[in-house]
Amino acid sequence: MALRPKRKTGGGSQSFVERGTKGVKTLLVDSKRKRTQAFTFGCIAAVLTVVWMLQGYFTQKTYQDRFFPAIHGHYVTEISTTQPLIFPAIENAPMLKELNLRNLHTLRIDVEGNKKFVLKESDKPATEKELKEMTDKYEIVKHNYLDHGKLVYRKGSDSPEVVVVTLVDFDNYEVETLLHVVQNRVDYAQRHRYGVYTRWAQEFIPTINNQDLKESYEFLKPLMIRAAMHAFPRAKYFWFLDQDALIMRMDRSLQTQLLDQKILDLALLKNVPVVKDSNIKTYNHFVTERAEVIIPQTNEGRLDSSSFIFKSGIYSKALLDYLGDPLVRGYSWSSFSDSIAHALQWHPSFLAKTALVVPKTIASVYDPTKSTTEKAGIDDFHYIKGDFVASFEGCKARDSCAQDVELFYPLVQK
Amino acid sequence: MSSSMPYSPLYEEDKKRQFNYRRRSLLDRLGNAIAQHRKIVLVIFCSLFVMFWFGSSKLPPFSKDPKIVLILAVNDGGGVHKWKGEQEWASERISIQNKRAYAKRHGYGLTLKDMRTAKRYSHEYREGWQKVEVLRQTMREFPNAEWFWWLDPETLIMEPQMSLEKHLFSRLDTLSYRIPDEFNPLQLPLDIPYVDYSQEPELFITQDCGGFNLGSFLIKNSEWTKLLLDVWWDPVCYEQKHMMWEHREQDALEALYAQEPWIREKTAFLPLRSINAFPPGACSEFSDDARFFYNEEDRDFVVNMAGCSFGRDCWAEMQHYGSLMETHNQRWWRRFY
Repeated sequence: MALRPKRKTGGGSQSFVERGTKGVKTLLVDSKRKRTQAFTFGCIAAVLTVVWMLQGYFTQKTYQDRFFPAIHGHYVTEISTTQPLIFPAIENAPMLKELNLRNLHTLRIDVEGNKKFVLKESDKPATEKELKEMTDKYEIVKHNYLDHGKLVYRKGSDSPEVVVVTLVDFDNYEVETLLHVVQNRVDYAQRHRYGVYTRWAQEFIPTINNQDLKESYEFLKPLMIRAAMHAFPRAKYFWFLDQDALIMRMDRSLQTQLLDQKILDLALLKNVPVVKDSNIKTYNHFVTERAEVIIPQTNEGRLDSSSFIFKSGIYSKALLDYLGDPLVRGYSWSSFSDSIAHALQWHPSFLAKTALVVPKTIASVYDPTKSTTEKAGIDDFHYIKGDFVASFEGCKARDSCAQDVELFYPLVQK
Repeated sequence: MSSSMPYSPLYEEDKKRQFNYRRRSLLDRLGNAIAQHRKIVLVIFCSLFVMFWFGSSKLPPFSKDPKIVLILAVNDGGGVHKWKGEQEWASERISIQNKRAYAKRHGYGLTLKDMRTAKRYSHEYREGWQKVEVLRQTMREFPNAEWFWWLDPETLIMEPQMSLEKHLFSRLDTLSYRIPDEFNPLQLPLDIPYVDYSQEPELFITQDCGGFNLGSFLIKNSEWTKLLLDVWWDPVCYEQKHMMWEHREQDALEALYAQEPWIREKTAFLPLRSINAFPPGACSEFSDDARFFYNEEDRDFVVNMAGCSFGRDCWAEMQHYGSLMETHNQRWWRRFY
C-alpha cells in the first residue's frame, strides 16, 4: 500500500499547471512588495531583451555580411549553360579573321605610344532582344565571339568527369581544318559523356603582355585550363589536347587509356631526370593516387606540352596560376615546356604531384618519315596505327599541320 | 570496574582534548597535519613547485603539443657585418623575455630562430630568404601545431594578459579584411579572375604605409602553406626583380598576391594596430594617420619598432615601450615593494 504512487499519472501535469497559476496569483495578489518586485524584474528582462534584439544594429557588421565578389573568370558577368560541349562557332573563323583583334577588342595606346589590346571585364552578354535587333552580320559574329568566353557549365549534380580542352586559332588555321579538329573532340566526348571546352586563342591575347599570337600561343595553355576549370567546377580531369592532334581511337575512354590507377602505375616514369641531363629526378616512391598533373615525356627527354592532363586540386591550380603569372611567363623561356620543367625542378611540392608518363599513352607523335603501319622497328614514341592519339608536333616547322589533319581525319577509328 | 582500567579517565580526557580539532586554532591544526604527513606534503610541494616553475604544459601528464607556436627571429645579422653592441644584446634579451613570459602564461609554444647572416644567403638573389626556410623548418619541428605567429626581434607584446584566442581568433571574421579596398598602399588590383573568397584564410598579414609588413603575421600549418613556402622563393621571378624588390620576401609575396588567385583566396589582412602597431618613428611621413601608430589609450596589443636600426634608437624605444608595458600590467601586490 505504501508503495502506491501518490499522484495519478494523468493528473500530474495538470496539477503542476494549477500550482503554477496559483503561485503567480499569490505573487500578484498577496502583497504590494512582491508586486513591485515582480514589476522590477519584468522591466529589467524586457530591457535586456530589447538590447539583445537591437545589438545587431549597433555592433559592427560581421564579415560574412560584407560583399565579396563571386568567383568569376575573365568576364565578371557569365552565362550558365547546361550543355557540356562548349565550343565556338567554327564557321565564323573567316569572318573573325577579317574582323581581326582590332575590331574584336579595344586597342589602348598609352603615353609612350605602346599599343595594347585590353579586355573589357565588365562586358555584359548580349540579350536575345539585342541579338534579334542586330542586322550586321559582323556584329553578330563579334557578339558570339565575346559571349563565348562567358559560358560556364552549371547543372545540378551531374557533371562530366573528364573535359577535353582545346585552344583553336582562326588566324593561322583554315576553317576546314578547325572543323575537323573540333568535330573530333566533340565526337569523342559525346561517346564517353565527357565535356568539351574549346575557345579561340585570340580571346586570351588581351589578357597577356606579349600579344603576338604565334609567340604566345603556347603560354596561353595554363590560362586556358584555368578557364576550363572555372567553366566545369565539378569535373575531375582536364585533358589539354593541342589543335595539332587528333584522337584516333574513339572507343577508348581516357580512364582505360591512362587515368585508371593500375594503368597509370604502369605508364609512370620513376626515377628519371625531369628533363634531359637534369639532376632532379622524378620520385621513386610516387603515389599515383595523389597525382594532380600528368605529363608525357618525349623520347628526347622533354616535357610534352601538346597533350597533358590536370586533375582539379590545389596543386594543379597553383601550378597553373604560377605558369600563368606574368612574371613567370615573361621570363625568356625557350618554350612553354621549359617553364613547366623549371617549376618541377625548383619546387618539390609540384614535382611530388606530377606524374611523368610514357608518351605512347596520350601523345604518340606522327613522323612522316616513318611508316605508321609497320610494327617492326618502330619505337614506343612515334605514332603507329592503333595508337590513341596522333600528335602532329613539329608540323608547324614542316608547314604541314592542315595536311596532316586531313590525312589522319578519315583514319579515325569510330 | 574503574580501577581495573589501564588508563585513568583524566588522561583520556587530556588526549581527547589534544585531538579535538574544533577547539584548536587553524594554524595549530595545519601545522599538526603537516607534521603528521611530512612525506606526502613534501611530494605535493615539489610537484607544485615544478608545475609553477616550468609551467604545467611541460609536465608529462599535462604536456601536449602547443596549438599555437610563436616564432621569434633573434640575432638578426648576428654581428657578422657589424659589431653587436651591448644595447642590442640588452634589447634582444627584453624581447625574448617578453615572448617567453607570454608563451608560458598562455601555454603556447615558443621557438627562437637564429637569423644570423649566413653564407648561403649571401648571394644577392638569396638575401632575406631565411624567413621562408625558418618557417618550413619550424613546421617540421611542430607538426601538430595549428597556427604559427611570426615575430620580428624588435617587437614587444604590450598586453600579455590577452590570449591570442581572445584577442584574435574569436573575432577574426570582424577584424580581418580580404580585399584591400579601403586601405591599399600598393594599389593592388582589387579583383582578379578565379579567386574563391569562400575559402577560409590561412595567412593573416598586415599592411603598413609601404605595403605588406611581415614583422608580425600568422600562418596556418596546412598543405596550402607548405606549397606557398615552396613557391614563395622562385629564382625566375627573383632574377628579374632582385634590383627592384628592396624588401625581398615581402615584395615577392606582394607580387604573388597581385597575380595568383590561389594565394589571394587564402590571404587576409589584419589592421596594422591589431598585431603590429608602429612607434611614431616608423612610417613617419604619415604621422597624422592614426591607423599605423601605437595608441596607449586603446592598449594596442603588439608594438613593432620596425626599422629602428635604420637611424633610430632601438634601445631607447625598447626601454620606453618596456616601461610602458610594466606600468600597464602592474599587479596589485607590486605596490607593496
